[in-house]
Amino acid sequence: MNEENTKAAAHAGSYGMKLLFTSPGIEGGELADLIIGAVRSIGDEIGRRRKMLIGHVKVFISVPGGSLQVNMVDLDLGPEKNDRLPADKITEGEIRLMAAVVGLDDATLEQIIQNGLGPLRHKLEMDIMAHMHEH
Amino acid sequence: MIICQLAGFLGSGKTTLLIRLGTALGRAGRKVAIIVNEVGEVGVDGAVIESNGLRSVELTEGCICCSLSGSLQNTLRQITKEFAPDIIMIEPTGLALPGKVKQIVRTSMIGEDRTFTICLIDAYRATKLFAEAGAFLSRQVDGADVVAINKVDLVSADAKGQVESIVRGISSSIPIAFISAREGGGVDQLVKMLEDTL
Repeated sequence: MNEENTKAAAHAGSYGMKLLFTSPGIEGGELADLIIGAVRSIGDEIGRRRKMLIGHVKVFISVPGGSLQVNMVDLDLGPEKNDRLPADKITEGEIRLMAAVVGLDDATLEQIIQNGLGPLRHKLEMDIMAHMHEH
Repeated sequence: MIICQLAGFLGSGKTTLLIRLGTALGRAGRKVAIIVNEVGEVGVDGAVIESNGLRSVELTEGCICCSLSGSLQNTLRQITKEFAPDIIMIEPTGLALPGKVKQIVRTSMIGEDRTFTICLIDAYRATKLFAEAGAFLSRQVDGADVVAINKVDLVSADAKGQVESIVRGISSSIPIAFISAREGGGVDQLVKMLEDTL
């Protein structure tokens, strides 16, 4: 009954990461801009390789007193955000990031995501808790 | 008890609709349980759902229509036994086939009255998506009881008509709802459909 792997049937790749971050204190707006920039960069790179984004890139950040959700499903629409970050400076939190895309393999997607997270590493101390691309 | 499956391709708005439906049914006094599954082992949707005040069981490390079919069945049995919900909402991955999930639910032996499958189609991207992955998306539509054409707030009336034609090309008789899960438009009719099945 379940012999078909639908990820393979859809020719899709995926990659996800969970990270903990700390910072001396970053404003919510700056954090949101960083994440949106990273998601846009990941989406744009997928677009460069595939001509279009068939899939999604999504991030959820939880911090004490708030959260930030950023999704990107289309290169023209760009990243969409639901910003509930607190007004106080943020010193710690958890980032969950996941991308699933048709026409790219897991390893390529992993490389694109790792590159896309580069600018965050200049502003945040990050520890990877988990990184996966199983189906 | 009914099972409501929210199917649809990656990025079609399943989680947003699930939050809308779960919240509405909860406010109406229904006991709602939520099972969420994602491609990849790091879940994002479960955290999003919980941040909106709903509790969920997240199934990771595989897909519920393939490698995690046994986990889905065990979870369904456990939720049914311990929580006795009026409705169990299942959000599979965007790469799952609703017909397969339906079959797995059917063989779980949990005594559900019905499995009701809503398949979401992203109106904004439908033309592109069907051009790229039409055969796969058609299989998702094929296993549904109703198609919800989502994100209609982002498209013109002409574009809506084109998406409707695509769906009608797959099934001439399947009910179609036009919704904006983000704005809430049209969601009431889906809530009513679910209430009518309870």
